[in-house]
Amino acid sequence: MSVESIIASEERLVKLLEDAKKRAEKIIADAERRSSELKMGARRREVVRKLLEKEEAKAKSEAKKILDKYNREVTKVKSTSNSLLRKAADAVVEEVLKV
Amino acid sequence: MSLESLELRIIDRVSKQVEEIISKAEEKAKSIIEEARSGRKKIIESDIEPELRVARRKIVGRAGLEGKRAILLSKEDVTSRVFQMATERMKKIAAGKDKQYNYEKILKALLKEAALRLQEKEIVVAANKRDSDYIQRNIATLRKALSKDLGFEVKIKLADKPADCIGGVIVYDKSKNKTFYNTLEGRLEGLKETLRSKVTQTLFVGENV
Repeated sequence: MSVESIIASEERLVKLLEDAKKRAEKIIADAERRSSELKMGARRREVVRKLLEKEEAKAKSEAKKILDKYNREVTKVKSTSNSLLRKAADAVVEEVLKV
Repeated sequence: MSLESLELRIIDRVSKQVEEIISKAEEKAKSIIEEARSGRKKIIESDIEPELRVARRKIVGRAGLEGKRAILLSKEDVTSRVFQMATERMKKIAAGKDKQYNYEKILKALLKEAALRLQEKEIVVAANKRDSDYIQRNIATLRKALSKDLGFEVKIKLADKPADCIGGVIVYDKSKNKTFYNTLEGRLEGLKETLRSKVTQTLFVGENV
């Protein structure tokens, strides 16, 4: 092997290193492009939809609790005792007949 | 060291450098993507926070309104039952079947109130069949009492047809220019709005409903 041959080999290796650097730059550039796509791209709609669905499910569960509470109050109102209704009716009659 | 082995060492070193460069680039790329994935959710959440709030408020708010409406309707239903019970009791009173009230006295008072309001020398009285019969039987006494209350002589005439009411009277002048409705259901209707709040107080205040 001659010195010329080593020099030629070195040139080849330098090119190999340069190619590797270019490849690495491309890998990173691709990742950055993908990152932008993730932040702004079509998949965003899917995430928004999922978040909305999750929030709606939470809100529906809360709404059910609220309605249950009101329904308990409605049951209580509807089961007002007859004696209390009678008392109120008697008060009405008394007012109407107050001449 | 021979030239061959020197070349081999150089090749080996460069190959390792190439591997290292690519491996570092791949690691960096992986970290960029991971960061983007976790950051994306936070960005979107903060971006659509108002939208989420509106969606939530809409669902929860609707439930609150529905619940309040159901409460109001049930209270209204119970209040109507009270007025219905009051009407039933007034029917008994007017039929003389309620010992707590003297209906004849009430009827006279209703007639007097109407006559005082009209201030006419000749009045026509419409009442249901039962009350008309009572007025007819006692017309002389009633006329005398009314004349005394009004301070002038009053003529009482019964209407040709009985009125369709639970009890009480409708009194008008001869020319029907002035009419005073003093039936029991008319009085109840007139007082209903005022009484409604009283009924609600009696039934629901302190009940926490």
